[in-house]
Amino acid sequence: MKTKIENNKFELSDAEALKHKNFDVVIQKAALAKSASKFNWKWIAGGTGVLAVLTSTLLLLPEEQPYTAAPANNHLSVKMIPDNTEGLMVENSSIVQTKDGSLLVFEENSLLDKNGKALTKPVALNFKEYHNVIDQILCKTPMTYDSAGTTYHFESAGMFDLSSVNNEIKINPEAPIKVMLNSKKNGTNYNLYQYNEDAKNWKYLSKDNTPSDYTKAKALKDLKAKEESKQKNEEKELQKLNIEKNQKEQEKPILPHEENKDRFHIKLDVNYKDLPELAYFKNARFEVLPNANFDPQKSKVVWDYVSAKKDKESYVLTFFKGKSQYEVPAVPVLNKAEYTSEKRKYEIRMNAYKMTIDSINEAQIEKSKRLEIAKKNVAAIIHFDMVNNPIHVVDENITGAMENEVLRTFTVSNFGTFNCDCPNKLPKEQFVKAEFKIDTNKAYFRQVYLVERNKKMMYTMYESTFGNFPFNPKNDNLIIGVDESGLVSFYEDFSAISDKKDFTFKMKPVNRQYASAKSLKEFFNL
Amino acid sequence: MQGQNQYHISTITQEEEWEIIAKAINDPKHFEKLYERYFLKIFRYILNRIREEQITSEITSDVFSKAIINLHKYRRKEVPFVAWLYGIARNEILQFFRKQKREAVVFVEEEKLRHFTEELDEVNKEELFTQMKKALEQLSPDDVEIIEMKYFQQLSHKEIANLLGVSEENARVKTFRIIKKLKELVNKM
Repeated sequence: MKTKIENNKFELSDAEALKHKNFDVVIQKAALAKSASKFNWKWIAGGTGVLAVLTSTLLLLPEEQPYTAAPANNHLSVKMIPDNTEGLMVENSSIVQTKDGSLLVFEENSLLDKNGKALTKPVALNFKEYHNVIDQILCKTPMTYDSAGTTYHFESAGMFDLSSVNNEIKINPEAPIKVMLNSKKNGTNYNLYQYNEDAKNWKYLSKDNTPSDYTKAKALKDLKAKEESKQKNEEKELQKLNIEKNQKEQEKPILPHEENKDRFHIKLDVNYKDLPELAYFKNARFEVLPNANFDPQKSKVVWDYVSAKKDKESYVLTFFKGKSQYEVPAVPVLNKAEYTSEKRKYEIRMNAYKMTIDSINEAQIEKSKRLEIAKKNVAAIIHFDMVNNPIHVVDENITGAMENEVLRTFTVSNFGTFNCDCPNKLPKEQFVKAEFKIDTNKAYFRQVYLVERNKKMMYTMYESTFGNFPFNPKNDNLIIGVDESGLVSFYEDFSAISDKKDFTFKMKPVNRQYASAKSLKEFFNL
Repeated sequence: MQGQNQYHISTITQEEEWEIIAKAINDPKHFEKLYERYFLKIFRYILNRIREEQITSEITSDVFSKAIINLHKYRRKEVPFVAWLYGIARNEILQFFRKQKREAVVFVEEEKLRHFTEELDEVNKEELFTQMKKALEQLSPDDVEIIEMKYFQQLSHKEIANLLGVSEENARVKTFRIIKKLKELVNKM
């Protein structure tokens, strides 16, 4: 590095510099770099605008065209396919909907910070759902399960990854997150598994107890009913608190004044039920206010009865005799000795009163918050229903359209990958000694998948099975191969095998124009 | 010397900035706010070293795209976000020079230096300017880079620290020593 002191001033105005500002270019560059460097594209699915930029730039493709075998330089690699992980901003006590139509239900203390305290602010979580054979192929997690020495292949009714952007956030095992996965498969023969990242295998959790008739419609109704019940409870609690607060305010302690001997005093036999604040001051008398324009002659009248009503800091005494009445404004007073003795007691009572009112206020704030959360959650369920369901079920007694859809519920107490699966063995109807070629060259695959399109089932085939490659000719079979560099090829004409014992699968490269999970699903009709 | 008000920095708090970063980790479209906020700063920093508008434009977009990709690695407790961006920018500049097989250059514009010396000594400004010019040429380019960052680009010690990969205190001490050295060189003339 060297130093140059230049005569030439290099000046560019802000306006000129700002002409170079182009966020789309930045995103495109990031997308290209990310695609080239890493398969696990966590964030690009964030916006369709971004995705559109990515596809047009990354692939540099002409307009949509019918598939033909891709030339080598136009061969799709799985590395080109953006990951569709979804970033969710979530918080405790909320129900969050994912873009694939699942629900995540957070209790008030489901998410904890590093000190084990319930989070009070929203946090970012990553969520990814797998509903399809293509999702499973693109997923790095093996879709096989070993039990007692036998390898089973998962027929998935739905799978998801849930992780936190911030490593310090934990899930409270006492208040797990409920993930209601939008499963596309009905049926009761599924188990729940969690992937063990360390052991690199699936751990059986439990049988999936979702009843076959527990449709999405029922699950939503139940969830809504639960949240509505919470809402009603909170409303009741809030009402109780309001009543309690009103009562307490009636009992707000007072301190009678010290008497002024020059003024007129009235001794009354008080009903303390009506004036509970005076119950502490049995010797109190009412002192007529100086501006009352009081007629002392009235004290000689024998009145039938007297009522006392609080009016801000003083009282209005109303004297009745027959049809006539006479009102006198007055305040309760004590003599000097009594006043001194009662003042301290009053302060203690006042402190206790303030504490009671403060605690009621706090409880009211807390209950109001919970009420808002419950209302928000009910709204979220209705919104979910409006957005996802062809017939809006939560407020109607209609379930027909939703009978085949199930929200499978996972209780998640740690981050990771979860699966709802039925383990299947490999088909055994027919076997063939398999060889794979692309053009005239032998193809070496990192992974070969046998897909039964009619069943939406996928088997992961290892090289050890190629000598005795199993399949069921009655199924709509498809082979998808992924080589070491991620290039994707396929074969689908199983009728050509007939009763041959040896067969060369002439794999066709997939064109890179299908560089998205969605277009690949469409391409393979999965 | 260029005034600091040249940068159109929107008024968002550090907390708001952190929230944007957290969102942008998952969804890069949120990064646009940060891009809007720091584009001019980073562009001018690069332009000052590269001195070619189109290349500067390319490198600036590279800096921000790398920031998007590596956003999850950013730790706010370690360094302010803008300093982190400067760090990426400096690496990109050095990489550019390496690729071009060109020697990295620290440019100091005469006018900026003149302005700087005027502020130091109004009376003997011409003499000081000549001395300062010679003295700067005697400093190592690394030292001149720090002077350039601190006094001509008006970066904070924290920002310089991140650019150089040293602690803030170390950046402060380095700056102090270079200024001392510069004074000694000028006094000898």
